[in-house]
Amino acid sequence: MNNILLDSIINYDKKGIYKLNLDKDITINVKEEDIKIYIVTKKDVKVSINIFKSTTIYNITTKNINIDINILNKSKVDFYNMAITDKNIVNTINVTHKNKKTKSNIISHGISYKSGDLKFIINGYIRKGMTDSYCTQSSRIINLDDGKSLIRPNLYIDEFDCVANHSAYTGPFDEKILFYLETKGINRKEAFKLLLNGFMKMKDLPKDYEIILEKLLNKVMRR
Amino acid sequence: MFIIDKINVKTKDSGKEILKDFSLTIKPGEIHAIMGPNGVGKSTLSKVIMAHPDYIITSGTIKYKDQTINGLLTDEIARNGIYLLMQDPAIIEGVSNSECLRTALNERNDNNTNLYTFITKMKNELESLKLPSDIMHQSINKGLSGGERKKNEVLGLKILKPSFIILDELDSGLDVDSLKVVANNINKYLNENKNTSVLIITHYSRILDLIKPNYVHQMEDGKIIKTGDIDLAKEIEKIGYSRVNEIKESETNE
Repeated sequence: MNNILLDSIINYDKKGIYKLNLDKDITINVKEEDIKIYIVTKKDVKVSINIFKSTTIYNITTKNINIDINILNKSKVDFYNMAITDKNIVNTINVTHKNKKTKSNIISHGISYKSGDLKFIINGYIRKGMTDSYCTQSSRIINLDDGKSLIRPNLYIDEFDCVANHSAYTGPFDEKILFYLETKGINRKEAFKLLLNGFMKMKDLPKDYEIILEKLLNKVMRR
Repeated sequence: MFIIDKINVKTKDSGKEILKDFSLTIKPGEIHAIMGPNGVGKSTLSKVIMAHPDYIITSGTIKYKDQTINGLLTDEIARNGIYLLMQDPAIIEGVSNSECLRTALNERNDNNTNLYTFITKMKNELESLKLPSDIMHQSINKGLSGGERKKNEVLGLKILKPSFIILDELDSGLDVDSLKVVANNINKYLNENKNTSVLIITHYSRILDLIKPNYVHQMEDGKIIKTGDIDLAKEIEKIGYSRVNEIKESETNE
């Protein structure tokens, strides 16, 4: 895959936790171990991420995003995408395994509410010769109100000696789990709050980053 | 007092009649068991009491503490003190046990749950149920065995302190030792809360040796056809549901 020419580059070459508010197209290079990146995409952006060392990246978005992830050396990337919208938006994530023994784990959770229309297009590429690579993706979108959604989980695999899998779910919360919470005496609104929180907070997040997600969730709850 | 008075219930989707003129009265402190083969509506009964959206009560009433509860929402019924220990408890990823039970307690006492008291209580109860304490902060029932899930439900019972408990197939998924632990915990709770009533729904009499019922009802085709004591359960266990009915019929002929 060709790298898109972008107007700025950020190099992360010291271990640590980094926060990034994105409002323009950018290239990110991860060049050191023990780096965690917490991104908020505030505008429609194209992001190119080159993974030279294993890393974990989080992204909160309400916008159209197009993210190219290139995995090099023998690196692994865990990418958590959290999208909440009542608009018509598309999140595209392309993951290319550029070397042997590379690993990717792309988890995308989204909420489409009111008259939202949320699309996840997740493409995983393992070219011939990229042996021992792992490419996994799991995408889920919860529809609330008249919200619509679509997931396209694509795996383009041209190598026998690799592992690739995907899972996808779109729809409302299962009535069975709502009933379970209600039998504990929790009203439907509170039950939704618990479920939405649990669904979107996939991992422990830094407090200031979690607040951004909470604000978006509160907007969903107040609708 | 818990009174079911001649309820008729059908499924929302197919309109199939599940319960027909079903009546049952349970006084405070009494333990009743309902036995019956598969498909007679035992588990449906527990869901109907909790206002499950898949079922419609076409006639009759369910009253608890002098209040008609059919027509109330599931969470309102639960907050009235009725606790359903499900046959197959749901797995909820992302919502921890402590979050769920704390929210449930907050709903009962206007957000006045003391965090320290709550955590201490949870720890003690987990210990008495022989469950690891980190379950508290894990997603509800995720990664737990069938038996541990049942124990986890008993944890909810001990935290939320209901006055009417429905045990739906408590013994399914529990090994002999776990069943004893669970039954001991429930018995201890009943000893400490003398006015608590229990409705046990079961196929087998095994659990009735551990949680002793005052009455045993045999259910068939959507209603109770026979009521007795523990001996009825033993008789059913010994000769099967169909044979019990055959004997009943031959007695009637004589």
